[in-house]
Amino acid sequence: MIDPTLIGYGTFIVLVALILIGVPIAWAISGVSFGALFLIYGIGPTISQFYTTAFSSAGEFLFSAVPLFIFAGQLISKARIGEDLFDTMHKWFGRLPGGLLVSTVSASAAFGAVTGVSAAAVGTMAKVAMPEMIRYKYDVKMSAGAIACASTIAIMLPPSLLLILYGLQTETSISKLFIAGIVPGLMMAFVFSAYNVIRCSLKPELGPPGPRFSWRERLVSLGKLSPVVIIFGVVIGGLYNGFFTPGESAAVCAFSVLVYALVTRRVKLKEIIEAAYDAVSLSAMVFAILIAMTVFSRVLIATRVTSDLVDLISSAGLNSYVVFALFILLLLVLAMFLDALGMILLTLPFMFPVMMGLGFDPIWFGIVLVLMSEVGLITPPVGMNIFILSKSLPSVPTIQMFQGAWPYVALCIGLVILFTIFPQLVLWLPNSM
Amino acid sequence: MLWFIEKTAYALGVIGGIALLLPMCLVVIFDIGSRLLLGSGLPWAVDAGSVMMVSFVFAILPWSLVRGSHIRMDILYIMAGHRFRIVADFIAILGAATFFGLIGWGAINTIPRYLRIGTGSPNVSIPYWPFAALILFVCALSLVILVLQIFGRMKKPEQILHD
Amino acid sequence: ESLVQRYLDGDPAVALSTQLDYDGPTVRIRYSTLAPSAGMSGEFFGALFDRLEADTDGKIVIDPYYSSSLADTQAGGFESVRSGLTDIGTCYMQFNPSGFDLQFGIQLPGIVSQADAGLLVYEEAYAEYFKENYERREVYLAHLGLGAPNQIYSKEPLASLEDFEGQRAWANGDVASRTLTALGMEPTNVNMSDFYPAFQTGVFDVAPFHDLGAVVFRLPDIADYRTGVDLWGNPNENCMNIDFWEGLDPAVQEYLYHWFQVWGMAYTQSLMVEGGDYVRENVLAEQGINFVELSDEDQAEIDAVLTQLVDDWAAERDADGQPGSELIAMMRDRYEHYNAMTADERFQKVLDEPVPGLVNGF
Ligand code: NA
Ligand code: NA
Repeated sequence: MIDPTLIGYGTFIVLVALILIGVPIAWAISGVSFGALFLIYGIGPTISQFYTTAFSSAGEFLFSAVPLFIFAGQLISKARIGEDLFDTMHKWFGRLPGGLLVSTVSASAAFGAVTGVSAAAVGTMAKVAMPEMIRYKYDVKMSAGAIACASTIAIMLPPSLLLILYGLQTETSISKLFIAGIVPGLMMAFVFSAYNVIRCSLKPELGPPGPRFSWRERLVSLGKLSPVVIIFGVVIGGLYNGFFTPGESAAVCAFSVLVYALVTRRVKLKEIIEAAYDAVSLSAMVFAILIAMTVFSRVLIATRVTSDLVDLISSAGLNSYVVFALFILLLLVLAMFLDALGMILLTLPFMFPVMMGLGFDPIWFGIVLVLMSEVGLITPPVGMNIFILSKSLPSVPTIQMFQGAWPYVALCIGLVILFTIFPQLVLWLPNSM
Repeated sequence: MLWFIEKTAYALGVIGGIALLLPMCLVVIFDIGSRLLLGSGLPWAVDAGSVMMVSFVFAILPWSLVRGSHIRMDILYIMAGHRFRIVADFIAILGAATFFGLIGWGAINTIPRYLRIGTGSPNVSIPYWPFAALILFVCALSLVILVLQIFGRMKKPEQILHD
Repeated sequence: ESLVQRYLDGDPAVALSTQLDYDGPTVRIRYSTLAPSAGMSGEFFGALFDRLEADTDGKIVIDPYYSSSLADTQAGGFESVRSGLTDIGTCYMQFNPSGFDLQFGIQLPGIVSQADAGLLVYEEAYAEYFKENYERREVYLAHLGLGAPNQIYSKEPLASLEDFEGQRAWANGDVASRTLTALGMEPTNVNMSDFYPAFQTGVFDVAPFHDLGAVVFRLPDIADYRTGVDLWGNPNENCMNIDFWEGLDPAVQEYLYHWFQVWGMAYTQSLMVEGGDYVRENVLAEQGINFVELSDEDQAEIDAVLTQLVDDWAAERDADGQPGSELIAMMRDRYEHYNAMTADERFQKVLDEPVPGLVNGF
């Protein structure tokens, strides 16, 4: 039999090759996973792995957030609620360099307080923000990068599925993790915004400043915010008052947008069906990748690639910060291929004990790990947020979107370094509770 | 045949998928309402949400094959020549065939066991076999679509890309 | 120190009566579990599997895969083992309740308060009543485990049936829903991934949990009170692949058959009983949990409700042609027997001889 570790490394190489020649992501991952599983187990268990993973991933109620939030996003767009929102934003902040980009980042962060699923956030924002930024002649790459990347803030701000998972796996306080995520989440929003303001100041054509509006026009435009305020109020109010759970918030959001749009007669039946059709076609892509990727992460477990690498790094007798830096490097490589959930499940069991042995704080490591797994959503070749955006906006080549996302990868790594030098940034708030 | 396959995929994915979105919302809304107004939630809501998700995800897959709506990295693909694309498309179809072939095969293996044991959802035991049967049907339909795409009887992703 | 702790520490005086008489190649066993690798469960499994390796001179080695990382351990648990994706794995009937009915009798409240004594009852009942139905899933049982009884964790102090009335309580499964309903609460089910935020924001205000689980699931971050009423205990079954088992050397089979039961007892005693005692005495109060004491009358009222619940459950089975009352009577009788022993005596009993009949031919 071939050495499983060898099969493990082989899967990475073949997968990159298949993706590069243009095999659709989901089918490339499936083919490679099939090959590896078949070599390790033979056909019976391979079938079983695909079937059970598909059945349980597809049946995960939490993932209903993906089609429902995308549906809501499309409706918000078709009911011109998004247009109104950005019209107001434009009147208030349009004079700022990159003002609409900052608005997008802020809206994503606010949306993050509702959902813990990044794919849902990007699916919504893609329809709400992207057409508006194109309308105001913002640079497409910059706009796409902002939407795809700012949506990752949803995972850092509570409620966050990944932080819950981390807390359960490591017996770390989930409340403290939630609180610890607030400052880094807001810092991400701030750093992302600052990046956009600076780039657009240096090169105004990336985010052209709009005309000046009078205070009267600005104040009047606030009235147009009412649908957003009402819907957001219903969702966030219900969520934090215990009327429903984060997993249920997608349905509440979709339902309230639908009711609002119907009552105000802002959409026709045809547009509702169009919105649903978009949700359907985007979901097909997302779920095919999701199922394939879950199988793939189990392939990597069966081949012991990650555990071997972690053992290698941790047994070399290196300085604890060097070990940590190597872990970050390993996470970056895994981030190329896996989604956030897969990354946490794949690395946590091996890295966590080593990190604790080296004396790092469990809450701090949780935040750093989640930050790194967010990077996975925006890096090629498999970057789920970019794919969702790309499907919502077929006119922009995927490669340009990845280009627009690179600076955010750098910013996230910069934040990891910052949090390593100043762990108080993460730990001060939870420890002072 | 071709017409029938396309219409079936369309009916499942577009009509079925869209039709499922509303009940998926409503089950949650009713559950929340029941909790807030009557004290306790609907015991079947979690299970129903889960099997509706299974149905939704699988119903929409064949249509996504017909439409070629699965994302790819298109840098080389767009620049490359016809022959290169034929190879890439062929590998893509094989990859998709492993996905649907293995999951469908799993469903064939599982349905008799589901029936024999009465396997169902955890809280109110909604039987699983109809959903496994749906998965089997979807996988079979998808494989037929893939075969038709190999033999050029259906639009290949490449053509859709340039539509 | 307890016997189970000495066994896990590698004390040669605390050992299985069965010796491994086997010279073949090393048997490596894949074990897939939903338990995390960190914390108490990781420490436990590490010590347990090291001890097995030491006692068998490295001839039997377990390769654990934690956190469902290798295969689905919940709804797909049976299928993962049946297909050979893993050799042994968690096959909990509570995640796959369809087709199980009588076996949930072990979960009923008010019969078992010491989980390890209950485990011995469960093993005997399995051999007599449950085995055939369990094996319909085309797997063999590896071993059973039994969770400590669930207690009531809440945001408000709940000290009586009146206090329970109308409380929204998280419920997962039939026995849980029945029990909470019988106590006057409103069972509320949310998806597992929503459990934590739902409890935090007040979608429900009561979460029944056993004490160790309460700490692992971080309940003290949310709840302030614990009412000690022994409710249902969650059974934990691990199963094994039939081909894997049939392919083993008979000497390895004989050793493993015995050792699996030591595993189940060590798990139940070390984590559920000792772990639960430890957190109850040292951790819960420190993490801000207040213990609610029940008056004798309130306790008696609750006991009466639970007894009635068990009797009703048995009567339903009887009417259905199943040996419901017979099973309950057997469990009560055997529990009394095993509960009279000390924990160390129970562990020694398992070291001395396994319960027969859990797998064909043993
Ligand atoms: Na969030
Ligand atoms: Na990536």
